[in-house]
Amino acid sequence: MGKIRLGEIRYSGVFDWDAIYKTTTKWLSDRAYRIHEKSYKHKISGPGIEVEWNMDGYRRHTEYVMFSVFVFVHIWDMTTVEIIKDGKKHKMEKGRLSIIIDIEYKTDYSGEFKGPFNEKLKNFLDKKVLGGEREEGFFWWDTLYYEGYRLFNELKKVLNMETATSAY
Amino acid sequence: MVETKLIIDKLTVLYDGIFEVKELYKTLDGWFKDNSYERKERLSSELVRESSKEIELILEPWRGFSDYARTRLVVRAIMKGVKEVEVEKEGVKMKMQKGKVEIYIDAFIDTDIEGRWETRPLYFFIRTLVDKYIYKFYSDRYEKQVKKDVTNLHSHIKSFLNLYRF
Repeated sequence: MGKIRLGEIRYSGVFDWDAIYKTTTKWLSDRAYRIHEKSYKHKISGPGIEVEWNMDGYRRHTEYVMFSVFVFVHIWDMTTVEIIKDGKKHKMEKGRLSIIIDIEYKTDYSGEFKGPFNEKLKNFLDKKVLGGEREEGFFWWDTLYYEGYRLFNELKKVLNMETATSAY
Repeated sequence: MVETKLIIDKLTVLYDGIFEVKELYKTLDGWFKDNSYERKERLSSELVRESSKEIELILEPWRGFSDYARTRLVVRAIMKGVKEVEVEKEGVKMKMQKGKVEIYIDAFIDTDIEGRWETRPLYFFIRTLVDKYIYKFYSDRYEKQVKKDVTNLHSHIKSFLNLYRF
């Protein structure tokens, strides 16, 4: 199944970039995802710094299915600011950011079903025995989908957003 | 590709006054969960200014009727000039927010979700005839259900915001 975009968070204001980074990596590693930092770009652009960060997490959910979570963070006009919180000075960042989370699951990730006959067997297994996307969702999709949304909420909490809550 | 039909176009809720962003979001999210909609949050945006916030949400929850059709709502909530205020009610001081809220609700029915009936022109033709003449009973039933859901959601949001009118 292809990548699905869970959603996008856009925020403009004061935030803690270190907390966003640590929350994402800790959240993925706590759930047994293997982390792969695909890219980290840091450049001086205009009035501040521009950062692009790509973090992927992979987890072998079963012998047949692998879950992937892709986090892309893009920050513009980032500057360091000092704020006073609870009587103490804290260094934080100010700027505009966008966080995009995509998810994907892959069947037969180890490539066991090789050859024309085995490929047809795999298609039959995925679509007829396991029932196509709806039934696969019953077994795996919901787990990955709502797990992704938990990460979404955690990042909103780090940013202190008003909508950092969920009924699900 | 999925076939989409627009059932409700921009059903609006406008409000200007005291409310709580967190509770409004919980209300929306809670309603979707209670009515068996799957969560989909396309955009959650917050712009923090010195004295106020601008918040924009685009929620696209969906619910499957069958393996052929599903309903999809697009709820866009725009909150402007959101400021913290202190309100006194029955002698008790409470921290709330004040601002303008605009909520727009669209509802769609998506059919042929898995794209099985568009691989050949003949299948597309058969699907169109079946949808229009044979499957009409189910299509009408789905449309009624969607309209009922959206009316319910609209009333729910209005009742929630009316609680803050004191």
